[in-house]
Amino acid sequence: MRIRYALFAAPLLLLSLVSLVALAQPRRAAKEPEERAPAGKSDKPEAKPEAVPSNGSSDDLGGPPPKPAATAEAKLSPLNPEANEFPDGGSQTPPVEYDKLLGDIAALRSRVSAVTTTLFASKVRVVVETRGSDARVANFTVTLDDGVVFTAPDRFIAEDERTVYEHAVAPGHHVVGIDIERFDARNKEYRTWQSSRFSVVIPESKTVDAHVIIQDSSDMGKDFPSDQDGEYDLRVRLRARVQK
Amino acid sequence: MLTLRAAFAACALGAIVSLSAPVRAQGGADKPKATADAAPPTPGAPPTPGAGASATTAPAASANPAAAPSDSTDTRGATMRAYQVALDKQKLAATAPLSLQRLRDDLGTIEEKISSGRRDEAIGDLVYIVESPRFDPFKDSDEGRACVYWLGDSLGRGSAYQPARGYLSQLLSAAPTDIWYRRAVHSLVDIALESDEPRLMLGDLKNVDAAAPDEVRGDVSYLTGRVAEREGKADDALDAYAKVSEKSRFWAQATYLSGLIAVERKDYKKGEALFCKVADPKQTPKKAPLFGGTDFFQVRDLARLGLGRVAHEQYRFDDARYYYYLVPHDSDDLPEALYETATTRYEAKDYEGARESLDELKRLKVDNAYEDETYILDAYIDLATCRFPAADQKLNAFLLRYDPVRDAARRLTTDDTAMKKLVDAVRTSSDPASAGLGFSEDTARALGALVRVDASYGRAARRLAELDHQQSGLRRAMGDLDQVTERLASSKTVRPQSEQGLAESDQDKVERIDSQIAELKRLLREAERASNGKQSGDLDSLKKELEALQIRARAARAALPAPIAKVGQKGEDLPGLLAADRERASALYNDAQKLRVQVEAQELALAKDALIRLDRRLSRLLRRARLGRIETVLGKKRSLEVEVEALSQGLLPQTIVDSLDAARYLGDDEEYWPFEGEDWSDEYVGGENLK
Repeated sequence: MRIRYALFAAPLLLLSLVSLVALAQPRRAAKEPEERAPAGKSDKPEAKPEAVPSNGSSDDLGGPPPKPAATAEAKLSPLNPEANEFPDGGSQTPPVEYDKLLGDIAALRSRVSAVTTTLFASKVRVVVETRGSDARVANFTVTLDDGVVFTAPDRFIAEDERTVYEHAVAPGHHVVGIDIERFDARNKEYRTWQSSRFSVVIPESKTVDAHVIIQDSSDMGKDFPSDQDGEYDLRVRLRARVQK
Repeated sequence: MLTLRAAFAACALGAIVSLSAPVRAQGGADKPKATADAAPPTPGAPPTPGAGASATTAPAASANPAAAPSDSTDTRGATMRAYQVALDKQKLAATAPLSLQRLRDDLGTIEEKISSGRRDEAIGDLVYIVESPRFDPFKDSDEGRACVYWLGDSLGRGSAYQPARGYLSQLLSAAPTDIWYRRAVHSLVDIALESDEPRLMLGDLKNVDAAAPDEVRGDVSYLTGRVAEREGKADDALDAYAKVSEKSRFWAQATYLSGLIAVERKDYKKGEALFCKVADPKQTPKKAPLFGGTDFFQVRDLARLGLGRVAHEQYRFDDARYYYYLVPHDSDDLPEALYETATTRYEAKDYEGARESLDELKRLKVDNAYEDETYILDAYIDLATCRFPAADQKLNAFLLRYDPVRDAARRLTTDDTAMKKLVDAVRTSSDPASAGLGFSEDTARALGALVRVDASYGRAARRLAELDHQQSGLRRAMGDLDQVTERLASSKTVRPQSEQGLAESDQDKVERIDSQIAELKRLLREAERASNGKQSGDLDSLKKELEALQIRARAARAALPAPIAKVGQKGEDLPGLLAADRERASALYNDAQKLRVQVEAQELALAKDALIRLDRRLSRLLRRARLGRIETVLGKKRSLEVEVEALSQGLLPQTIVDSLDAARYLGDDEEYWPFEGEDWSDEYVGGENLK
């Protein structure tokens, strides 16, 4: 009797063992995509974490071995820039005294300007006019004696007369300076820089109009590239007139 | 890999965003930096709204140079008031009474001066009005407040932040609905974004009323966010940016910067959502473009680039292409968008798409900072599509073109003047070929196109320019003070003719020496270029002579004397005040000279940094080009092997198939007319109907 039971139980035991082996099959299948993924998408830095079974408790072998950490750096495309090619994002802060000094100078200048307005009855007015349809002004400054009194903003143009400075000054001799850099609108390579100084005399209690005409009839930008023959024709004229 | 690009985007784009502050400034353009330049909060003296124009705090700048900058809102108006009293005592002060009508008339003239760039004159006029006892009855009137506003604003635009804050803070005592209150807040925020110490201005704004209009509070919140970001407090920055309403001119900037913070934290979903708010017109609040002005659309382009980069970061290449495609054709960012589209398509292995984007970029015919990288990418696309001869040709051309450029960049790093000229030419968009660098025009232009100027360089250059401008004005002010003093001593005195020739001052001479030395350096560089790297004894001795001259020139500049005059007795009377100011002016001039050395050194360091970074980039690309040429040889070999293998299996290679068919060799823009016999009747006039 016992032998018969043993003979009956043996196939059952064998069958159950086989079924256990079969149950382990999906586990192996789940591994395959993980092994393929890096080959298929070699430029991706990491495999999707969802591919790893979240629950390995049903498996005596435990979870799959951890993926080797594929850092982004290890897979950088050689065409990508390196970190040291970028600015560090920082800025050079100005010296601590910078703000104070600029505040002090600006305040002193404004005070002096106000005092001279009160004490001097003579005045100078600088009026500028630019001529030349193909000339463009890159830099333009007007100086009076030792200091700059006007700096042109970008794209400065004064086809009509434009007052750039008007202020009280001491009567007597003064020097009006014009520094101008121009380029040809047709060809930016052709540039000129001119510095002119004019001595003017301001009479007592009078206003002097210093009318500056800046003319540019150059044809370098047009002619020189085509026939290697061009001309710069630049003029700065100043007409000083006491206002009646 | 894209983290790097995202970092670059954050840096470069952050800079452009800050440009959108409606000042000509590039203020606050820096990428938020952890700690390096974050000024510690300086509680200092709070602003004193409503206080008079006199001092509020004592300046404390030089007490500890390494410490925080001085937090002063001193308008320096007390001295001007003392002048008014002294003038009055001598019966020299203006006696005509002020009136509202006169203020209105003066304001018209002053506003015109400001709009035409005559800011210094306007400041002088305004100080004359505002710091007069006659002005006190009008200071609370609309016109009076306008005068104070324009004075503060003009000083601020001229980088005189301390007095500017002093004047503008006075206006914050009114009701928040007052127009000058609102304009003062806007101005303070603009100045803060432009300055290196925005926290100080934020302190001035801490009392801005909660009942203030949305756009005013939006300004303050945006500044709060920028300051927090600058100090590395990203959470605080996000909170502040979230408070910026659609009625603020900074809504787009705040939303975009919030997106950048999210991306930096790898929260791409949130970052994308925030960028979408700016980039997608359907998601943008209707009022935001109206209040944002033209800056809004610049930020929108940046947001679209940002979206493209986020999609790229997540390997959503098709999405990335879509977002880049949204950057409009009139945008300054179009070359960047096209180059990145090409990169994206290349990485998605869509080589035809990459080629199309590169072709479009070439068709733009604009200089862009990606010219060198475009070259390499173009060749690598050829490599990927097995067009080995074409790839080899392009890589060879790259080596020929950029090897001299890299060498030139290296040489420039040893010449401060030329380096500064180049970086200035790039910054001001002028032609580098005309900057006198001593290189061939092509090399100079290539250098100019490739240098990526950091936003902080722009700020450093502006600092130096402003200092030079103030120094120049100071020289003139010293001359004026001398004239006034002489005039007070003798009313018949007139200004004499200068004993020196025109443009013969010490300053002029030193400038001429500097320009001569710069010219010598250029000639030496040209000689070096002509010698093709061969050692020459003459050149070496010339270089040594030049170095000696440079040392002497530096010594001459350092020895430039400040215009000094005899200083009279100081006191409370007019001559005394003039004497005190004359002495102060000389001292300030000397201080400015010393400070200039430091500021110039900072500017040069940044210029050098830009060139060193260019050297690194070109070196990498040149290495890559050489490796690419090896790849082309290997590729050609492999293709031959494949061909031979195919032939052995009886398969004809593609190069042989239809090799006698003429149409096969035609380009896309060519047409093939097959031979149709000798007599083509339509080829000559009158033969159409002949048989």
